[in-house]
Amino acid sequence: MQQRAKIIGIARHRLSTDGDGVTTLVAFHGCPLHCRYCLNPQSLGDGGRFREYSPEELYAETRVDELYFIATNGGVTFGGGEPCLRPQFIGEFRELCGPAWQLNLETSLNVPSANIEILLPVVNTLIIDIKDMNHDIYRNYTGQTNKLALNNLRLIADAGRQQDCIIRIPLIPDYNTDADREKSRNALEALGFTRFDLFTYQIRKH
Amino acid sequence: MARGKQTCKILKEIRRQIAEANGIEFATSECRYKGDCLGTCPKCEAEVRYLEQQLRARSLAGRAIALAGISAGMILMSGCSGTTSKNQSTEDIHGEFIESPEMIEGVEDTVVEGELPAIWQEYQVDEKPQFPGGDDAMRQFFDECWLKEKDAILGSAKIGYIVNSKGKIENPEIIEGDSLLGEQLIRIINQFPDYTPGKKNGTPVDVYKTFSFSMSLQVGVDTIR
Repeated sequence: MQQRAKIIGIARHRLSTDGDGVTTLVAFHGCPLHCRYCLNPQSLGDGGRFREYSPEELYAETRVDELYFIATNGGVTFGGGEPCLRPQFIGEFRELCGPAWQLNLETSLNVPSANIEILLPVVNTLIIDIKDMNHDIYRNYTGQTNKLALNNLRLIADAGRQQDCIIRIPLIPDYNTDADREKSRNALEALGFTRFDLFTYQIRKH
Repeated sequence: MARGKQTCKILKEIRRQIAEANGIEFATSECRYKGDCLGTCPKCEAEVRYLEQQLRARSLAGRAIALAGISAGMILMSGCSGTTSKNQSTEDIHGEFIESPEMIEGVEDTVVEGELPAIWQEYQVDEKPQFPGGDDAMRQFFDECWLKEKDAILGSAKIGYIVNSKGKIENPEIIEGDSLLGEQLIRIINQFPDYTPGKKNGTPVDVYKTFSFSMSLQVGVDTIR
């Protein structure tokens, strides 16, 4: 059955923000988390207002920038929302765009491991917002347990794909501290991850 | 929209490199557009289509195409790629997410990883939100509401509001001007019927609009923009 997915936005010509090269950000509707400082809160709640795409329709819309993608080793970054809720859709998209486009995910990894198993051979880079490795901090901030995220980190490590991951370790105002982040980083290094993005969440008014 | 201009400049350089690497004649003129730039425009898009056409012709003629990665060094994700935690300075740890400084020097508006522009400006959308019946109908509707107001307050005020993707008006607020008049205008704006929503890439989106009004003794309703 052909996959269809609600997409809350497509942003072209992203330079250096969502992966190397020229990228197009495709943001899916739907996320298992409810983070207080969510950047795209429109990904939650009623998705009725958003257009539903098939992989073919999305490919037709994004391939206008194929020259830029191939010349800069760029491509499409799937975000959201949680893109890893859509492994079949992204898999079909890969079949359409071929191997030359870089496909990246911006994900929390808080999805069933079966989804990550499907996506690992399909995507080039995973930009993982890990929030915090401490379970209590994670739950306070997201409203969910981080058990799935931790399982998926191990899955990625077992597959030897650590070098394809950039792990974002945010300082989350009112939720964690630099000491917490240091602990998160140590735990991630123990799993073999080496590429980190240390930053502070921007608090936006929505 | 300095970022848009900078994006335009970078994309143009990529096009130039593609043309040069493939021996394609490519004469592009300096963009003299002074208004807000989204990073691309019909002229830029036409240049991309021209390059595609030229590359296709070369490919059909059996000539080699040089494309993969020829501009790869231009845009690298900074703050991430190859960064190890051991190399992070304290400043990095405490700092906010930054982008390639050589790319965005002098650019004030920042794009955050993964974040979509949630609310668009009118100039950024393909189809602006439309009051049912158009601007004349809006003026007429406004005048009717205005006449029903108890007091005619002199002065001027500017109101900002969002026409959401369903066409409904959200968050009207006084941007500048007289607060009493502003409150009166908000009261009227809140009575507006649903708009036809603005669209971006065929999808209804939230769009920010402004409404300016001034009232003087001589001419009554002076301006509605």
